[in-house]
Amino acid sequence: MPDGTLQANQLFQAGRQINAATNMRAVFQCLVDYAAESGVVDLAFLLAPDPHALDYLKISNLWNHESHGLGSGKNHFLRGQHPSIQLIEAHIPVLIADGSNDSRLDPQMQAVFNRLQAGPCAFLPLGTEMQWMGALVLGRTKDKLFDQPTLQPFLNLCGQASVALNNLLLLRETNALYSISQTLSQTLTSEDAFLSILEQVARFTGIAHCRITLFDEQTRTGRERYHFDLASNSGNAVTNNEGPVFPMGSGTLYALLQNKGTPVLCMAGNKHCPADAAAFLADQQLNALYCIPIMGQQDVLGFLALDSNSGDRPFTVSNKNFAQNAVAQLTTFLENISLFAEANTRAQELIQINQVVSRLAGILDLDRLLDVLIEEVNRLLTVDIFFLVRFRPVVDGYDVLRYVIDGQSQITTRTKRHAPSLPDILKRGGVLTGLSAQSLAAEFQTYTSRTPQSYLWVTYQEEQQPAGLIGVHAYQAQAYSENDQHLFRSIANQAGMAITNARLFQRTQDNVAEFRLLFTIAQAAAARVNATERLNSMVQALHQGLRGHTIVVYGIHSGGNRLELLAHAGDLVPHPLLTLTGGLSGQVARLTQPLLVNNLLELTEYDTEIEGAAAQLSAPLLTGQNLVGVVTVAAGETDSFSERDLRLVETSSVGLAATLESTRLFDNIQATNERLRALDQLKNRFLANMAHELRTPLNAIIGFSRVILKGIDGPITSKQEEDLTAIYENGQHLLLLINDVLDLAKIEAGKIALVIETIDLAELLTNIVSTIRGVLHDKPVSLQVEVESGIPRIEGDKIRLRQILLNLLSNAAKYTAEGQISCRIAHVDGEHVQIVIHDTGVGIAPTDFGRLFRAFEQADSTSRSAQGTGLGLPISKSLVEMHHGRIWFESVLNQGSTFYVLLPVRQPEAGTTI
Amino acid sequence: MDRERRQVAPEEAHVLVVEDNVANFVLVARLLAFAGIKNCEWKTTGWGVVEFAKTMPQVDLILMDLRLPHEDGYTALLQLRDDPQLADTAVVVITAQATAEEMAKAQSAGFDGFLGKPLDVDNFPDQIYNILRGEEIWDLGA
Repeated sequence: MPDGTLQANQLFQAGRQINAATNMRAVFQCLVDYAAESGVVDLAFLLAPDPHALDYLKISNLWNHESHGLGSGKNHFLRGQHPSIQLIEAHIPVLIADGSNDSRLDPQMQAVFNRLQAGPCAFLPLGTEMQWMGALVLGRTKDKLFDQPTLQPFLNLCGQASVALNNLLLLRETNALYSISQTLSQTLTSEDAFLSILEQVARFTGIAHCRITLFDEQTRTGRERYHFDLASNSGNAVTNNEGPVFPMGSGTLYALLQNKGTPVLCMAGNKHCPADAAAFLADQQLNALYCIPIMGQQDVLGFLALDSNSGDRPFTVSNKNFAQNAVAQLTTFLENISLFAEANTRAQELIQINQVVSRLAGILDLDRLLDVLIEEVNRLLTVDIFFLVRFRPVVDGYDVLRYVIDGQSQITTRTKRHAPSLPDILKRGGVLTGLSAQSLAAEFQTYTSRTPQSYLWVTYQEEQQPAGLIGVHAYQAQAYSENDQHLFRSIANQAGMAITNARLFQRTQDNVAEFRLLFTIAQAAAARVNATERLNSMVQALHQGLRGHTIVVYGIHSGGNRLELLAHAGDLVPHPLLTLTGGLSGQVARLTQPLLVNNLLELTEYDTEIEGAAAQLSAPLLTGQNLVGVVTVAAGETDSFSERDLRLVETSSVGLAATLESTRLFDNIQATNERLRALDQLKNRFLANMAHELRTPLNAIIGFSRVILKGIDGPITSKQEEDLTAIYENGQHLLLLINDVLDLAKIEAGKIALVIETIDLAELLTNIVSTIRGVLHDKPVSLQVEVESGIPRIEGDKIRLRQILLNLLSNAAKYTAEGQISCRIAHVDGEHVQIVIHDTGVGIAPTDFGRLFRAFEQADSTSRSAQGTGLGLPISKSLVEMHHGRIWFESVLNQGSTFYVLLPVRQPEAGTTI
Repeated sequence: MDRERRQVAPEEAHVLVVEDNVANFVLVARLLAFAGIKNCEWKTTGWGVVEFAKTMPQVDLILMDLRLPHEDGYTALLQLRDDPQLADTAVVVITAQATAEEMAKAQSAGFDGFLGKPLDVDNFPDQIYNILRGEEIWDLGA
């Protein structure tokens, strides 16, 4: 095999072996093996940084013909300031004529060559331009100098080895980084993460000391917290607070890290070295520090530092890369862990809120709800004092619904006026802490044995409107974290919804109760006919409906300037008569506005109107615009009444007012009726008397005129007879008039009772007809009577039926000058008979039809000549109707009239018999 | 009425008229005279009717107004009926209170007849004769 071919084959084989090598030592060995087999060198070894102590270079893989050793401790070279090291690490091939005696080389290196009996030597660099990884050192005996053709294959092979070494380094780096991520994925705490990162960085870089310094928000300083020592192979958390610190805000290193977010190299003695880092280097007797920032979301949390006692040499690209990658992983981990922690906190908060929600849900009683709310707040927060304040914008005040100190519920106050700032606070909403919460607390607080150090207040809403405040105080300082504020706000939101629900429910319940009470009052009213009884039973119902408080109803006194007691129920005793000026009820009457006073004792300007009343509620009783009275509710205890009570009383005041008004109207009607009855009696008595008083003189007039006419007192002349007849007949007419007036009065007064018997109408008619014939005897008028056969006897009052027929027939006789009058009694059906009286007389004008049957309205003056009282028809009509019959007529003026009387055969009820 | 009552001829009869109105008494007296009754006494009040009647030799008929001063006709009737001597005397009402109610009231009070004012002058003598014969007359008058 020709020499060149052999060389090429050897080189190819060596290259393959290098590519197959799995670690640095194997690569180095391939290089040395090639040198040994090449036959052109006498010695070969590798000079490379000691991976376990980067401040040193180490000789390895030594080969030489004589197989000389180096002896213990001779293969390490401190990478100090010696020029040879700089020469060697310059990354270019270096040829030296006599290595054992060249002053450019380190004496220790010279000694190595001397010992190995070598003169000329070559340092062939390994690694990339970025990172020097060592050198293949070749040597020859003193007389054989290296030339370029001899070295060329070695340079080629070193190039291949550099690529392989770089690959191996990258692989190692990748593996280590992977290992870090593996480790971190199983790490739960940041402490474990810090220590594990430090260990991995130290092991990979081979840097003796790695440290993590963390900045502390509170002390505003950075201090070393974790440390790894490669020599002892142990990592520790640093717990003591000794040694130099890195100031956080003003520190120069902090500023550099914060500004750039990239690593900072600090070299002792360098003018760019941050002052605090320089102090640290001096303190730790180091000469360089490589600081990689650990970034939080906003700022620098701390930094990982690599030590060096040999300048920046240990901070190889690979090491820096690796450390930065490791720190990046650490940052991610810390971010995750803080996100996780936050998520965890939020989850916890949600769980707590859910617990609060589930406990508050379904409680519809407000008192119970607030009790549970206090329990829950106590469970979740540090609470020494608890407040729940509800605003009442209408009255510009507030109610303290709950005030609990050290677990003791305090007496709560009702409706106090508040400082002007409160509505604004409420409108803004949200959480109040610190001084603003403290000054707010002062608004409500009445007593505390100890001064709280922590205050937390939050607004809550009802029905989407700002409704009030919930506050907690604690004696300890800083009792409420940001999370607590979050939590408290959420609780307040939930509490607001629960309170809204409870209130809505309560309102519904109240409405139902209200309706029930109003219904009861209405029922009480409806069950009584007498207005006074009705008022009393309404007052009684209200008394029971308003928890047994005293109810008083005053009416406006007839004078108008006093209130008089009309009804009351309850234990407290009202004054029977009030002025409109002194007391509350009077004021309500004057202003016609309701009034609620829950503490009468505070209002000294009012007169006492109900003995022992401490709280009073009054509403005007109005019918339309008219004040008819005042209803007042009184209680012996202060704070007895709510606005709901006021509303209830106002609502029931409508019914009370109506009853009061109807009482007044009823009394009026009673009085009117009484007066009318008295007048009626007076009229009846007057009529009866008048009849008597008129008959008495008529007795004499008619009697004496008749006596003389009869000649009892002696003979009279025909003229005297004529005159006396006039007296006699007018007396008779007057008598008739008196009888009719009296009859009518009796009928109208209902004083006539029919005496029912069975009557033969035909017989009755016969009697009457003979009388009528007497009246008609000198007139050309014929009278016909027709009675259908089989007319039944009918039930009726004989005298009254006679009166009716006589009246109708004598009317016919009176108003008929010539022609005929007929009277016919006929069947209608089995139960009625009809009497029809027809005449050919003057008739009745249609305009008079309406008033014919009305009293004192005789048709017109033309018929006056016929001499009637005008009362006959009204009396007849009344009498017919008393017999349950009907009377009507048909008439044509100047042709005649027909009167019909329809009478039942039987009277529906048994008549009275005197 | 199943009272025992003596029948008496008009010219022998003693009649007491209790009437406070002079004109009406004169009319009755004139009519009684026309009917042939000679003994007629007059009293103007119901008070003391019994005592007055006892001063008369005999009393066959008392014509009694109802509305009278001091004591009315009903009171006077009670006293007459309470008196054993006068209990059976025929007492007939003559009154301007000529109503069916008043007549019914008088009947149940125990009067023996009723003549309403104004008196029926034409029938009056016959009515008196009938009464003196022991019959009851119930007439509301003209």
